[in-house]
Amino acid sequence: MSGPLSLAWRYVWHHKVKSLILIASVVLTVLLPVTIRILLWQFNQKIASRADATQAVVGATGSDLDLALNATYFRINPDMKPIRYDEAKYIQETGLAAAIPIHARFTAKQFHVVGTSLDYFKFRGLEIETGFAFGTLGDCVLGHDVAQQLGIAPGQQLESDRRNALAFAGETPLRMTVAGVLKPNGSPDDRAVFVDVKTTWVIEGLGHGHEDLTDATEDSVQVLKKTDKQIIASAGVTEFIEITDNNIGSFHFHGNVDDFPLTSIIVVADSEENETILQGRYQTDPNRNGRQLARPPVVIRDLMSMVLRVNRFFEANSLLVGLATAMLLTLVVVLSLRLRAREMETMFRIGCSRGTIVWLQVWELVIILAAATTLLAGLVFAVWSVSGEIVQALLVG
Amino acid sequence: MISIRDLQFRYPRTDFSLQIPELTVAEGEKVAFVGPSGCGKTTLLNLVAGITTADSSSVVTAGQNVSNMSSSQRRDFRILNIGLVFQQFELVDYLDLKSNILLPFAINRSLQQSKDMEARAIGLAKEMGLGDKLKRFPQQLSQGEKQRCAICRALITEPRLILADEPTGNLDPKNKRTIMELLFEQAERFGQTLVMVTHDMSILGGMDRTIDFEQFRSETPATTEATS
Repeated sequence: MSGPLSLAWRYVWHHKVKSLILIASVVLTVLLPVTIRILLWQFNQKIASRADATQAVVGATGSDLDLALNATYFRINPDMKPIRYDEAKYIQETGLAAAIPIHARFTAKQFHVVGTSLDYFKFRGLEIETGFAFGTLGDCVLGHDVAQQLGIAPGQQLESDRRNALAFAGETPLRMTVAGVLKPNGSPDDRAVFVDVKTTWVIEGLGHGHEDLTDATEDSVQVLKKTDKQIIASAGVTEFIEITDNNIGSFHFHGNVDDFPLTSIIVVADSEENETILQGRYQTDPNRNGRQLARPPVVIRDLMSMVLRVNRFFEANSLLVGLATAMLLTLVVVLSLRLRAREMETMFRIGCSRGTIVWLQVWELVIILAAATTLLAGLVFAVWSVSGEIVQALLVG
Repeated sequence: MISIRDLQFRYPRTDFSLQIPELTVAEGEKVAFVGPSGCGKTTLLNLVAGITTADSSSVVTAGQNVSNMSSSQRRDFRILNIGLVFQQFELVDYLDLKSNILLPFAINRSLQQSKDMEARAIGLAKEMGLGDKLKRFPQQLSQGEKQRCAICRALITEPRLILADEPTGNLDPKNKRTIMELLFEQAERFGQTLVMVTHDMSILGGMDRTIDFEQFRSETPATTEATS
């Protein structure tokens, strides 16, 4: 190592705290905007590719963004109104598109429980890694990450979360049986629990199973009233929280299934033309009032252009912060030079050239910047490595 | 070793002036510069070392006229021929004792650091009683140890001339005595010329000659200004 470089290194090493503060200042000033840029890029990539794979969705009127995010990322805005199940039937009957129901309102161990049909797996190209697809009420198929994080395998059980800890009536946690686990596919599907849409209605309290009251007498605690045609059960009747081969026969729905809720419907049109015709109907047909057809690619593009506009202000701000940091660093260097004036003068008196003294300062700066760049590169790489997962987790919620 | 003729020097925009018609210091001689503060003792050391120059004069050090040298020549000449010892020690705080001794090799390419020089640095440190403190930093050394380290740094290049500017100014009597003994011993052993600026009359006994600078002080401004 040359003299000035060696001396510069020793100075930086000896004054570790000062050097680390300088390095940290440089790293943080650059890392923050770079991280935001990486996350935004990943966000754009992920959300755009998912949206592009979901050309149209139908749901209640309101925010088309909420609707798109529900169908693609299973996110639910509490204010989002449901649509009826028969809307899916309507879409099918138009002959313009296929309809895949989505009822994503519940969670199990904080993972979204997505009520849908087996068509969803085909539509997204999802494959079963172990076990089988859901076949009966109460079965569930786990996304790859869910199975890994919870350590659950086919044959084991998973209970749905109670949406409100104080809601003891109606909505009941359901102990679901894991039928299969999906292969990883790097999408929000990895972090979801898929069930038949009817299973979500059971969770919602629209369907249930309980002990057989056929033989119960009117004076038993489970019966409020019994006639030849009707048995009215009391609160004392035992409701099943798990669907098994033995009790599946007792599960039934109250009301008309066509009226049951869906949060959204994925529309799979054969052609863009059919999709446009269908969209036209949702815009003009009075019978479709209260419902809308949204195009996630367009919705997400609008969202991203807004995000990028906001980001421009942020980047301008980062530039100013960078400038302020550069000025502060200059101040630190200048003050340091003043403090070290005697040291420099001694070197000069002993026989060091002014140029070498300048080189000594330059090397110190180079070492600080090189250390900062190396650290920054490592951190940027780390951010880059986990950015996809971070964005996925943020989007899936 | 030192030959000065017709030196007229003054710092710009000051009343200070130094006029030396003739002054010589022989090879191997130990000479003390004494006189009140501000009379030009340190200035003369700077002129002899080529740190400062006076245009129209003759300052010949170690057989070379430093006044005629370029600044880079003077630097190289200084580091090869002159060992400097300062009152405030002027050690580099982020270098350990050994690296401080070897500092001249790190700051000027005229000197090539070798294993021999490292061994010499360790040897000098041992002779100065610092053998067990080679890894210590200046702030971990006593005043006396700092000055001994500074003397090692001045001697490491095996200079022909040692210029010491009040080397005992910041030391207690015991350390003062030790430092002077070490300086004399080294100078005598290697036949080095020692020129020392001092206010301490108690150390003049070991010197061959004492020059009182009061005689060189002039009330009228000299014509030659300083350059560096």
